[in-house]
Order: sequence, then C-alpha cells, then structure tokens
Amino acid sequence: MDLHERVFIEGRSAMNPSDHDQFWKLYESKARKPLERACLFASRTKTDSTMDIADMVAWIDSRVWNMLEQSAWPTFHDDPTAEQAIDRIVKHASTLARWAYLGLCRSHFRRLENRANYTGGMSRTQRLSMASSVDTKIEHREELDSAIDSLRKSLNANEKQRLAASWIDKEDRSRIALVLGATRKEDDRMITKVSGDGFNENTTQQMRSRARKRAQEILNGEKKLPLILIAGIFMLSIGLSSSNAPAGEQTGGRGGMTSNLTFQVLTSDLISRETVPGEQTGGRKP
Amino acid sequence: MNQNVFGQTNGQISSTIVTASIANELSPIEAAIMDCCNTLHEAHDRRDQLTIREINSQLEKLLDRYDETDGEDHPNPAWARANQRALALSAMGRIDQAIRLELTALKYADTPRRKEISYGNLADRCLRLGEADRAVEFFLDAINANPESVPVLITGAHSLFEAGYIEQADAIFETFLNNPSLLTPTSELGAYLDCDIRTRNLCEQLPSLASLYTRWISMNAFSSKGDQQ
Repeated sequence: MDLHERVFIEGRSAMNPSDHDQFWKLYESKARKPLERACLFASRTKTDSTMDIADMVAWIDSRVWNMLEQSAWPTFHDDPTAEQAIDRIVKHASTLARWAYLGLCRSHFRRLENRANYTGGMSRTQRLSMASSVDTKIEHREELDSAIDSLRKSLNANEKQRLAASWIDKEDRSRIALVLGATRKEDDRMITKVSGDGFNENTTQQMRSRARKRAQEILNGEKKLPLILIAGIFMLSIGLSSSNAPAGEQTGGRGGMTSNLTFQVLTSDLISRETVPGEQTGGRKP
Repeated sequence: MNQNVFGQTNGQISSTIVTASIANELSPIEAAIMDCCNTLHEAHDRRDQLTIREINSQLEKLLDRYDETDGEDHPNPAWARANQRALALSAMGRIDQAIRLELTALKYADTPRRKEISYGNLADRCLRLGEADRAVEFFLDAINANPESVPVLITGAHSLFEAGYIEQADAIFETFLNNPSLLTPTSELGAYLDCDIRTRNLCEQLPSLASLYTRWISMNAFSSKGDQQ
C-alpha cells in the first residue's frame, strides 16, 4: 500500500450509496473539464507535454472511485453531499493532477527511454521506414493559410506581369497587360524596363518561355482561371507558336498509343538518355 | 547547373529523404524501393561509392520487377510505376530525369493524394536543382491538393526560404510549434527533424524552426532523464 492510499483510508466514514449515481453525473459534468485542464498544465510543465492527458485523467478517475468506495479522506471521510464532494475535487484538481503525474511518471519515463533507445539504435533508413503521418488535423493555421493565400495572389499577378512584359511585339505589351489585368504600378515599370533598349533580348525570351510554360501548366492542371485570362493565354499561345523561341513544355504526346505503351516509351527513353544527373512514396491508398 | 556524382550541387546538399504517410500500406516492392532510396541518399551524403553501386543495381532490379507486375497490382499502375521510377532516379542523382518522369506521373494522378505526392516531389527536386521559384509553384499546387501534408509543408518552407519568402517559411514552422501533437518520434515531422540535413541547416535562419528543434531536443532529453529518476 503506497503513501497516498494509506492517507485516504484513514478516518473512513460513509457517503450515502444512493448519492453515488448523482456524484458520478456531477463528476462528468462539472469536474471533468477542470481535471483535464489541470492535467494538461501538469503534463506541459512536468513532462513537456509528453505525458498523455487521457492517461492522467483515467488515473484520477480510478483514484476518485477508490476514495468514494472506501469513503476515504480527504474527500469523502465526513459524509459529504455529492455537490460538496465535487466542489472539493474541483478545488483540488491541481493536487489530483500532480498525484496522477507522480503515479504515472516512472512507467512513462521508462517507456520514453525504451522508445528512445529503440529509435536511437536504428539506421536512418529504418527510422524513416517507421515514420507515418499523425492522424490529426493541423490547428491554429490561420496565419499560415493567409500567408500562402497572399503569396498565391502575388505569384499569379507576377505571372501576368511576365506574360505581358515579354509579349513578342513590343507595341502590344501594354494592351496585353490591360487584357490580362496586369495594371499595377510595378507591372507598368516592368513593361517599360523590358521594352527599353538596355534589356537583354535573351532574358526576355527566357521570361517569355517560362511564362508560357507556366501558363500551359495552369491550363493543363487547373480549370479555375477567369475566362479572360484563359482567353489571353490562348491568344498568347497562338501568337508564340510561330516564333522561334525555345520552349520544351510538353513531356510527350499520347496520340495513337495506349497509355501503357506511351509510359513504356517515355520510361525507356528517359532511362537510356545520358543526361547529367523530402520526397514521398505512394502506396495503395487512393 | 552542374551536379557531380555525389548528388551535391555547388557544395549544396542535394540529397533528400523519402517518407510514406502510411508506411504499412506500401507493397513489399514499394517498401524495398523506399528503403533503397533512403539508403542511397544517405550513401551520397557519405560519398560511399561501394554502397551507391550496390544499391543502384538493386534498385534497377526492383524497378524491373515492379514494372513486370504492373506496379504489384496497384490500382493506378500508370501513376505508380512512373512515381516509383522517379523516386529511384532522384536517389540515383538523376534529378532532371526524375522531374520529367514525375511530370509524366502527374498526368495519371487521379486523386488529390496522388497529385499532392507528385507535386510535392517535383517541388523537392526543383529545390535540389536550385530552381526555387519553380519549387514554390509546385508547392502551392501540392498544398492545394492536400493542405494537411507535413512533408509538403516542410518542402514548401525550404522552397519559400530559398525564394526569399522568409516570413512565410517561418510561419510554417510556427504552425508546427502550435501543434505539439505532430511532434512524436514516429511522426513525419519527427523524422524530418531527425534525418533531414537540409532542415537541420535551416534552423540557424528561421527562429520558429530553432524553437521547434529546442523543443524536440528537450523532449528527447526528458526520456533519458526519466531513466535516472
């Protein structure tokens, strides 16, 4: 028998058994949340959140059950009403959480140690082979989502800017910018800069090639662009198709072949070529 | 951009790690390919030529077997075969070829998860080639397909940092800091913190990542301290 148990059993009295049901209902509705909060705090401060809150709360549940059954000190020794007992538990939630920590800490740290030894002795390949995603949603991500959204908008605007500024006919660049909606001050500055004599023609061609490639990827992959942009890009594609600007945006066609055959041809082609030389692997799940 | 046989680009680390979101759902050959790729990346880091030669030859055999069995009866073999071969090419250091093949795989990606994997891998490879702007674009496509993917977010943080979006890169690690449940020894985040050299190097530049490492180290230290109690 450990110290706590000895303390509880001293001075036993009796709580009316018919009040037990009411006590557990009140315990669920009034004491559960404060106990969870106290356990969360204890887990954070004493174990850097490594101790499971559910384990701590379960330990307290079991200890309260024992105290109630034995009418033990310090909660049930003087035959309190269910409400009085709940008040005592809520008031001393942090003490109960500390007891839960003391009761669980040995096995908890032993388990952590075993796991650390196990993972520490593994090679990097073994370590990675046992990694998997955590089955919880990422929370508190509003700031991240807003940063990504603003980045997406700014990149789309930059695409339009590059498309307009690198348009093959210098005279038409401002008109194209207007059609694409690239009407910011920086868009205007870029068009003026690219149209100026000092700007390298090769750089303009590269910009055109990249912008066109990206537009092609967007057209292939997404169907959410505004109609006017699609029309603009389409115009641009037609306009550029007769030019000599280098662009290798297609990785291969499928006309007249089955998909498997195409895949084999592509694969063998890629493997046989002598070119200069956190990924994820797939799996069965859709 | 010049790239030597050790997978290093202008002194920059260009090896990576391969993870699976659910390790035990991989087929035996897929699991073996993943292990070989990780061993090969590690061998490139160590410049261990003997291991590189051995694993290269094993990978070729595994890929041939995977093709013969049509992706071991994968529900979408066209995507799976290209994706697995691209993983292997990437580990062999042939990143250009891996990108081209992954773009082929992308054409057959028929679910958000497959799209996320392909886009995420493309972002990672572009980053290793030094094309940060392109990596950011692929990252945005990947995160659009699956906003919850930790590997994609980490690759995104690297891409954003390299492209000059330092605050946005830091915001990703700040989000991880606010989600302690993601930080377990067997989680993808834990694996990246332990095994990905590029992520480790980035912590000098991003305060939230540095805090994340501090927390990770203190969690590991707790386990050894517990034994002494």
